[in-house]
Amino acid sequence: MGNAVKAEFRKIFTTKMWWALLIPSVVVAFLANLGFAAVQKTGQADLAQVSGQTVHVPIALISLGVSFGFTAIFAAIYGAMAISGEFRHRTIGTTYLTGRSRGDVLAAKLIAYSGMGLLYGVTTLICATLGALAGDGSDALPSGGSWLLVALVGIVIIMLWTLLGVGLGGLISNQIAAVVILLAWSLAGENILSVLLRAMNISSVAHYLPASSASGSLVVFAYDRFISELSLPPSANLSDLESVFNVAGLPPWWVGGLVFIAYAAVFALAGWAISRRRDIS
Amino acid sequence: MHDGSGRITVQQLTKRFGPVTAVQNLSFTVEPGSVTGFLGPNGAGKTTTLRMILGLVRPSVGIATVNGTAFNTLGDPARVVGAVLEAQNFHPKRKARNHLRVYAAAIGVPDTRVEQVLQLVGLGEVGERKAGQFSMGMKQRLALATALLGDPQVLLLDEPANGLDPEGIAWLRTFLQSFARSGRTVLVSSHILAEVEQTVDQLIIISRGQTMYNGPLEHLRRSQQARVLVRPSDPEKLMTALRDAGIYNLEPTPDGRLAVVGVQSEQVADIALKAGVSVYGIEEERVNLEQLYFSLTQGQYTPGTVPQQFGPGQQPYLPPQPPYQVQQPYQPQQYQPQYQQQPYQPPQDQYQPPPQYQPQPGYPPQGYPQQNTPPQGMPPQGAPPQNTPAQHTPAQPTPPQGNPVPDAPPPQFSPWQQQVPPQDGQQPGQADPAQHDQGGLGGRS
Repeated sequence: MGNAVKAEFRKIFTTKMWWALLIPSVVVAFLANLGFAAVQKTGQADLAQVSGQTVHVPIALISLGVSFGFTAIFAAIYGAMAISGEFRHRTIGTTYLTGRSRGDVLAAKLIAYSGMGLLYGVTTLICATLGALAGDGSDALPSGGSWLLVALVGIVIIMLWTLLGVGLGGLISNQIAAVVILLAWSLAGENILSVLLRAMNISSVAHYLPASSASGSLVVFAYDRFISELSLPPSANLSDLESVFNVAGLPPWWVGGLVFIAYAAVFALAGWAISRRRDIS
Repeated sequence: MHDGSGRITVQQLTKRFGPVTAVQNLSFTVEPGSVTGFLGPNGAGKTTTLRMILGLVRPSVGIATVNGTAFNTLGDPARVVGAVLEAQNFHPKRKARNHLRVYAAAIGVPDTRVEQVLQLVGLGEVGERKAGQFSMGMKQRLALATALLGDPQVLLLDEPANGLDPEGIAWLRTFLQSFARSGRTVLVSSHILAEVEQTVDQLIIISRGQTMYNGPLEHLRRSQQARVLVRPSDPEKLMTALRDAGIYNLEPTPDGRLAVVGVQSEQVADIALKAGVSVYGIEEERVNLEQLYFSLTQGQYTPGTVPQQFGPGQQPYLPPQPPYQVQQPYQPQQYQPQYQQQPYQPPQDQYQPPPQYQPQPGYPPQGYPQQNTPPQGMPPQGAPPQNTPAQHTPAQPTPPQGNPVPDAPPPQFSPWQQQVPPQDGQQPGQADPAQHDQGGLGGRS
């Protein structure tokens, strides 16, 4: 197994795709937090003027959570090429012939691409932090503990997205189709379906669709940390805040997280099982 | 685990892709210590068979084993089997050395092995170039280098000569022979016999998914028969004299000569002398291996037209007779399933009679080879029908059918027997099976 994982990492780092897809991820994470922080800075200044005192509003926590949701798609695309890319370049045969077994090879891919998900996640964390600092200065950042906790959940979500991508690529085996399906679903398909579900008055189901469960879990977790950072009185009415941050009606963060873990596991296992049996001709 | 024998065994292997049967009830054994050629026209099922041996394609029926076990249970397969399946299986942007380092890691051999195989295949200088920039021949070498990483006991190569320059082919030939001579196993597929003729010791010929021949190349070579072409002053008289001497396998050629099969030219000359017939010219002519190969694989692409009767005593279902049953005699039951599955199949679909006896509705009337076409040659559109075959190239004999005429004198396999040219001098519309391979010279089956 160690050999197979080593081979996968060599495959990954001997072509350019791993950093080519990391570039948009870096840009998105940096800019999203930069913009959010800049807006917050003006808002906070206005607030200070009105209330006459400095209020610490660590809104960067929310933007950090949201930016993981944005950059996850690049990690997912990268994952989707793990198996389908080998079909595209016809290297899958050699890969199977040199591995101890197909199961071994596919497990090694899941392990190696979890590692790549970790890399993408940590990169997002670094770029988001730099973006927040550049936009706002350090005084508006939340406590380090909350920041890292949100980052941890975000990194796990990105790793799960990567594995889901690997599974999808294994299911479809056509690289272009896998990437297009992934993009179409996360950018349009799921939103369209959500609208339909809302029209049918079962909008709560929409929270459990793959992308919604992942991003919902992240945003709810970030929002929870945000509220606790604000240290509001227990009697405070949060319904306005909930609708501002679009978390009203969302299930608890761990529910969305578990649902998304289930999605990732189903895709990864299905891709693994299908790839184990597929004829390579 | 495996038994270390180096033997490849294929037993009753069948693969169906939907309605298409790519391989049908194929059985053969490949022994270590020799280079075995795996021949058949494009589409005969060679690649599918190799991929089933390698566990890449799951057989519909039957099993393929290497060292006594299925590929997928070999454990450390790349140390037992190396395979060159195609020369396109590289990431175009990955450097050759990195490509090898990937698979060296997968197999678990040290990176020094990468340099060894690069040197071995002659790519030592270009290891830093991307595989996508390689020529076809270099890709073939890189594919071979990949196959050799694990220092395997068994080597499988699918059409390795594709894209190789003559120098590369010569090098490959030497390499494979020395590899086999060290007691290891080599199975190399090709759709062109000439490509492997000088490399292989054993031959497996398949056509339409079935084994047509399995045995030493030498046996096939020995089964080649010479015919003597003699130009006598009095053909009738010589024919009579020959028949009196017990030689019945003779026929007049369109140019007025006499073709005598299975005798030495001296014998014919002596008989002619005794009979008082002058001999104006005599020559011996051999059918080459390529023609034998065509005859064995013919029919793969011929349209299923109803053949005209062209010989008495035809028994289309009879499997080929002894000259082809050297190592693994044909088992008649191998043919049974096909007939059961295809009860309405006209016999010619399995054993196509020579197409020159019938119009070929599936072919354009022009541009297909006529008589006297060399097997690999261009269609000589203007070839005069009465041209004397033997004076130019070795005549294009009618490739014998897979169903030998049972009452023909032994050895049963004679390409000449059925070449009865039309007596009215009309040009036969011969379809040369070689032509169907022309388009696929660089292709794959």
